[in-house]
Amino acid sequence: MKRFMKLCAAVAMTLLPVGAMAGSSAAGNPILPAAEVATFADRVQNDLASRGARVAIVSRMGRDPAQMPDGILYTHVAFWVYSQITLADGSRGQGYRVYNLYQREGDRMVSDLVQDSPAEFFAGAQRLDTGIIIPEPALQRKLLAVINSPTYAALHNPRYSVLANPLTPQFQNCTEHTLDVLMAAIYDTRDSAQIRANISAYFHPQIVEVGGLKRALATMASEALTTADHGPVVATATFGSLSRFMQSYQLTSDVYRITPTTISRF
Amino acid sequence: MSRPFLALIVLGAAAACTNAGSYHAAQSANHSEASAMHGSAAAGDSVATVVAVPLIVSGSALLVSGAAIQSSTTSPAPPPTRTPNGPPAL
Repeated sequence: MKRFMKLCAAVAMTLLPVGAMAGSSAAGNPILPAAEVATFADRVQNDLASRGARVAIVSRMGRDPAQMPDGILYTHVAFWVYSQITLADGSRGQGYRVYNLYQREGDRMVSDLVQDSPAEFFAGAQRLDTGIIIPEPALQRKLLAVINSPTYAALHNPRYSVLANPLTPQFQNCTEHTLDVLMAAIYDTRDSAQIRANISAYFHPQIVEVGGLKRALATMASEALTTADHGPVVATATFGSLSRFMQSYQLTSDVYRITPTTISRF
Repeated sequence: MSRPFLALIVLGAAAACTNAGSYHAAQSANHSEASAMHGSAAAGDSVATVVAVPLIVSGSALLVSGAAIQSSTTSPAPPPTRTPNGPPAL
């Protein structure tokens, strides 16, 4: 029986696009050469600073996009906040701190709010390619106020699902927490039920094509792939759905993509 | 081995599989029971046949429980308890 279960898990991981959505993990060791990652992280930091971004939503490509479900390029998003950084030697400088929701190592059904650096953020990348949303300056100010308040942590639900349904409070992933913080800033509230009502009314999550059998197999591959909070249609918050939502309500000043060699608009 | 006893063996194996393979254990139980009845009917021939049945049954029970998940789920979003504030605006 154990062999049968392992076989099902293997099938799920190889055949199911959702199996490729590993979720948001802090990277222990860089997947790509550390020097390349650091150079790319600095390229993104410098670009954001040159645009005067105090708060940006930045994404990471944690999986080969060819393995991802249709319409999904990025596996992780986080707020990057322009901050005063104190280095180990006591010297101070300006740079970005990254406010993440990461799956907990050793218990993938649980998440933690973790701050790290741009280089640590991209250490989990399979490919150096990032999608970036720079909110309108007025929204950046509101986001900064929320991130620096107890509301930021209060909106965290540690029950993690890769495919969390943003219309329900049962599970949360990194993008849903980002969306919740965004809604808290827009509507100036920390009331989770009110935030949920506004998300249900105005936000359209990304539909993920996955049938009943695939859903069952995916759960066998990893509990964090649960879709227990979904109905017949599985839909989750993604970088793409966030950017579409923000652009449709004129909440952005820039949405673009950076690779090691190019900067382009979506 | 009597037929009821064999049916119990098959039922136990199928139920254990569906419990492990699905979080809709209650829904799967019905399918497991139906599968177990099928298994007990096939079990009268020989011991070798009986031994193979639970594996086949448990496999099919898993497939059924997957379909059950798709067809039985209800609306994911309970009606919001609050009225939306209006479209986002700064």
